[in-house]
Amino acid sequence: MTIRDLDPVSLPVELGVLEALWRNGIDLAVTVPCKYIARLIVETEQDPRFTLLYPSREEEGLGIAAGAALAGRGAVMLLQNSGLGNMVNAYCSLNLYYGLPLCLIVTHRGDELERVPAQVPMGERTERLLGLLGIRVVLLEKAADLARFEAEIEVHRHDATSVAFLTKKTFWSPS
Amino acid sequence: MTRPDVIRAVLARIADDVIVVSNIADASFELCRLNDRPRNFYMLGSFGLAPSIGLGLALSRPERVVVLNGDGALLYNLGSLPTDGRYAPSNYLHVVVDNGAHGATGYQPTATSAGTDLVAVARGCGLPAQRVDTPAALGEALDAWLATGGARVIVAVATERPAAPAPLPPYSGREIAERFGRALAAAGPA
Repeated sequence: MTIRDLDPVSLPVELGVLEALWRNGIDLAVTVPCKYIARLIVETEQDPRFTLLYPSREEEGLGIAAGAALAGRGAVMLLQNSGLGNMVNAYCSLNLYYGLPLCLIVTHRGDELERVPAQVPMGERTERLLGLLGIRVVLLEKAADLARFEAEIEVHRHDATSVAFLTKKTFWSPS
Repeated sequence: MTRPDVIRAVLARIADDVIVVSNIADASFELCRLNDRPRNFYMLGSFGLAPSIGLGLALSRPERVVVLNGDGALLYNLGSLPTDGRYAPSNYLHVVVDNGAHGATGYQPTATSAGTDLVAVARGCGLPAQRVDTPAALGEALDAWLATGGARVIVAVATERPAAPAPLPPYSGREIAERFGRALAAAGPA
């Protein structure tokens, strides 16, 4: 039995995300982790079709993803919104200046579901920061939004434009 | 040694298919002036990310990848060394031109001028690493890597300042990326 034979209602959203990435030619994932996507990271690591890398920080991961893009390989970064701030200069002077599209799956910490107060200031500014950088934002709140992810990842690959999937805790499987 | 001496020694030895990623500013300017190859990726921004871009390329392509970095840039992205040591693609060489200073901004001293040992740091990250002080020793180190491969770091001490600055590459970022991407694509899929 393959993943496709499973009942889509019971299919964890993480597997749907991986299938959509794979179908669109993305097989390299670079992560500075978040607990919201702990399952996605495990599933990526266990999927022999994917390579998963852990850079020391997000800016470095952006460089690795850019190197992959230059090689014609699709890459995705999996990170917290707190890490976006660590990538701003590199995104401008590498991705924007050289025309290298970036694909981000971002967990939205510091929103109304947050329990760690220090996450809130960045959480409140995340959408505006992405907007300022000219990165298209796609909000994913519940598992049913997987269809939106599948459609938008195709747009990202087809148009070669940067995209950030800004995901709420409620999009992911309960931990 | 000067930085152009180091770049010249690399260029004299590598095959046409070798990918070169050069650090922001003078390393990129001098590489372009010495030999403007389609497989050169001239970094003009994103300070510190040369080894990271090089790692992404080395993990995605079969060809060898040489990163031309500087001590200031490596100190800025020192976290790249444990990542390089962890994934250690065998087609990856990280050459650090160590002049002990931020040359592009007026030769302000970096920590290597006060004793920070990048070879020891690289070794601590699991990477074979060596320091070279002369063109002859650099040539031997490069020949050894070309013969055997393996992820490796060479710290080339080059405190002598170049005679005159090289001009900027005559390309925009998009032109650099497109030319580089075409050269790789022409060689076949990754």
